Amino acid sequence: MSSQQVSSMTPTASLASQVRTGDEIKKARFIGKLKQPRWVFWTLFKYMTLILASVAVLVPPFAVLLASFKTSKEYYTTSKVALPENFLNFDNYIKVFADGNLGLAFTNTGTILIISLFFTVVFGTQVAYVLSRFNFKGKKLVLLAYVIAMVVPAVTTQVATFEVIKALNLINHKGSVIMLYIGADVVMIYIFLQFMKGIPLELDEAAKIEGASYFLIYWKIVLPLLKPATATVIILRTIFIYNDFYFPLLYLPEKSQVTVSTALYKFTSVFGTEWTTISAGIIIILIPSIVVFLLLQKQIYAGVTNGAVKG
Amino acid sequence: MFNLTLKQQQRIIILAFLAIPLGLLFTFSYYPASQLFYMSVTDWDGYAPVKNLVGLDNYQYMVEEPDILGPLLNTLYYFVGAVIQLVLSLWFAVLVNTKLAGRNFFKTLLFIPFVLNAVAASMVFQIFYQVDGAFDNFLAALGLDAWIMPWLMDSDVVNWSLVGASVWRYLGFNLILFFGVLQSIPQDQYEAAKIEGAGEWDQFRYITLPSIKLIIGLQVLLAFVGSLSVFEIPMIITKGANGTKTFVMATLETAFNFNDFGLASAMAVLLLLIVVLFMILQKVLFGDKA
Amino acid sequence: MHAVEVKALNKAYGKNVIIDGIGLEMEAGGFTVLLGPSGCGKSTLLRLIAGLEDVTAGGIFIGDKDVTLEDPKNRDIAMVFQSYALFPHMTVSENIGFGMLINKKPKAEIEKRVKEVAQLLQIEPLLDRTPAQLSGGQRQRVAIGRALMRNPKVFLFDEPLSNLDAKLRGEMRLELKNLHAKLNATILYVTHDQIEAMTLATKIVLLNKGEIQQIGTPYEIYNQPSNVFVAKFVGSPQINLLKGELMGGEGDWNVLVNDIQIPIPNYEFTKQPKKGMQVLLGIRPEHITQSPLNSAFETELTVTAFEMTGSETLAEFDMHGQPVRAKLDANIQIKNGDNFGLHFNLQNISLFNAETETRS
Repeated sequence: MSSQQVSSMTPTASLASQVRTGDEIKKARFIGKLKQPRWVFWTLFKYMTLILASVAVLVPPFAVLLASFKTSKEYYTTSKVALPENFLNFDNYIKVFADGNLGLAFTNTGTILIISLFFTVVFGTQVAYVLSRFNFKGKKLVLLAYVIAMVVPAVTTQVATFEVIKALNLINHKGSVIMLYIGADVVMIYIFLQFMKGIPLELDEAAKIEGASYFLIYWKIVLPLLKPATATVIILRTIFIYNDFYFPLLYLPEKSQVTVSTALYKFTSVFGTEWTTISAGIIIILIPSIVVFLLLQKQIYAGVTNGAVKG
Repeated sequence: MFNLTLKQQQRIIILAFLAIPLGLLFTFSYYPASQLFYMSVTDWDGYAPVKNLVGLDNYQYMVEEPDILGPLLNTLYYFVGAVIQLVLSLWFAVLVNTKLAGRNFFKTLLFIPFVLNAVAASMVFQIFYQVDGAFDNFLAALGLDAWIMPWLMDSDVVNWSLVGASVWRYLGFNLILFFGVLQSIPQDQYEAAKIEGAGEWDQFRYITLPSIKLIIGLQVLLAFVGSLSVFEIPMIITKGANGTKTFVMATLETAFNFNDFGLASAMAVLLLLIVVLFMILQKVLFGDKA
Repeated sequence: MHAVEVKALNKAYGKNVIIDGIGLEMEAGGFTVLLGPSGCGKSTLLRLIAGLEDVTAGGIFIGDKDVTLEDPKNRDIAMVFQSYALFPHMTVSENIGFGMLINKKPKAEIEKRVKEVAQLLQIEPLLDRTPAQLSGGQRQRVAIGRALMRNPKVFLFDEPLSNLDAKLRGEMRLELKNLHAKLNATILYVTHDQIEAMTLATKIVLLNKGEIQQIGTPYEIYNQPSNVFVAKFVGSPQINLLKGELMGGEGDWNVLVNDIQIPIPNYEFTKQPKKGMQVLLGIRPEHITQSPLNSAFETELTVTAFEMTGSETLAEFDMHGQPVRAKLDANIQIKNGDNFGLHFNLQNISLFNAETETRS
């Protein structure tokens, strides 16, 4: 802020006359700021950048949304950013759902998602429980194995992973991507480990004194207390798996095994240049993400931050 | 549990809880990684029952072949994009961390692209960038006809177009990371500085910047690894045409289209080494605190 | 001229009124304490004066200048925060010299002034450390040092001792008092701790729910509380408030508590007394003892509970249906059910209208 406010700092003869009502204060404050060219400039500049960014974020998907309601002829003859003649024209949606294999894709992705999430949570909590509660030979080695695995980017190793999947006879079998989603993911273990530190050991001990077995302690005490971590992991994994394109492209090429991502990817070969139909397909696939995001905004922010920083 | 002693129980539970996860970790992380090194010195084609050792031939070929180094250099476009993205996201994170009207709306809006399906988001831009597509029409509507370009056809422009799509998608991710750290800076430090006469720039320089040093380091690392592994956006939008092939695309193509798993493994090893090297460098520079 | 003057000040967040029409004056060289329970608006008032919050209506004047709309830096104030608000990545000397650095003062000048201040606070050996390497008390001193650098018209303190342990708090209290005397500084100090307020203040402003309850010296606040809230807020153990009826007449007033008549011929009424009025008779536990010294009234009551603290015995008696707490000598042996003769010292009693709860 500038320091050009000397004018209002003159001594005042009668203080009483200077006591202002709420409206006077608001007005005086606003006028005071307007008199500072730097304040005016920066405020305008800040909003301008935000508005520009918002436009940049909105225009591309908005154009796709518009296209999804247009007929093919309309799409090619009118401006791509013009409103469609009829917002109730769902022909593209009907067509893409029927011919685009989207029903199958959603079923497949859903199946993969649920099984992967289940095992990620089971294995993640179990590994975290064992590593944070017991001392045993080789524990340091196991921890080290997880640390090093984090450094290896999965994209690079797929050339060799492909051989493993092939040897296991899992090409075109959902088991392939499910195992990769479960086994090659280390960040989740870290999130669980981090949360385990916050669960007091006294709880375990109190249960032990009551005669609980270790499994019971895991099942009845640790698992319920890890709920916030579980929520974080589920959110992060759902975003990742729903959006993942790489693994299904490599390991699930067959038509019967399409996921949401690969089904959409194949649109250009199925529908050619029917951009209006393709647009409808894109919108169908975007909607669940947006709805889930708006519902779980806070948890998603927290999850993304934790996942990146702790990972 | 069947009246076992605690010690016996402990042994069983350690084994039971670790066996499968560790098995998976080795099968899908360590075994493939080690196989990469081995395969990179063979001429394996993906089918042959035997792998012939060929020494460092694959590496030599890789260094000499412009078809491979070209895609590696494309990484630079994305890295430049990622740096711009970092600066922009820091700017917006600082803005939405002030008392600005509508800050939550802007934060939500800028973040949304990150949670969208990668293929869908990429196809949005495939459509957006078409000749006489939405982008061109939008520019025309603003009277900026002169800026219209063949966004995906012109090989001078196309990589920047793809970088644009990448920034669009990932800016919100950086923003949220910065925002999280900004939120954790105690407000009273800013207030103390204000009383001392610090303006917004002083506050940023003396309070914000020192507090986010670590997260900037982490984000540069993520940006670097991210630019090396770019795959979806060029794969979907251009299929690698017009010089937009990235190194990951080239690696997969070498393996699965040209059936040269030896060479592909060598490429993967190179990528792996670069990433590891950069991570070590980052640890040395920024310490282990992140 | 007043060092600080607040006029008809209002602060509201939407419909939620935090400060409700407060007027306040502070003399130069005074040590004014804003005292009140948490949520009473005392910190908000301080932050309004500092310029860290925007005023909704009214005016703030510092040294006769209208600063209602000024930025904090133009108000000629310095502030010490509850959490100290030290910059974690700067050394002590950088923290203290921050203001001068920002205002582009020459390096030599900054160094000289930092040294002076460090000397005054005896923190010279700490100048090269970072806040993380300091103890709570040392951080506190650095925060005060940063405030001293500004040489302001008014120092603002926001609960500065609340993060220290009890022993350190006592030491810092003394030090603050000495510092105030040495610098002849004008201090506005927020706390919820009545001991701090009583020991430090030359003037206490007692707030509740955004309104001033009473302004006065510590003696006045303690002995002549202007309403029931003030009476109950200061003093530990809490003041006794005996329900009764005002009886008698001019020169011969007394209060009938259940069937016990307590004569108060010397009480100075602030409002015209009215016979038959329901009142609360406020008398502090230390004015009900076993000692006949200064006794104005005596009665025998039954012990219902007692605690021995070592230096004294706190006992609760049944005053024919109403509990009454007394502070007895530590050597007195009592047990529950005992009948015991109590002496009432009525010099510093307060009478409140039972309905309005204000002093009468």
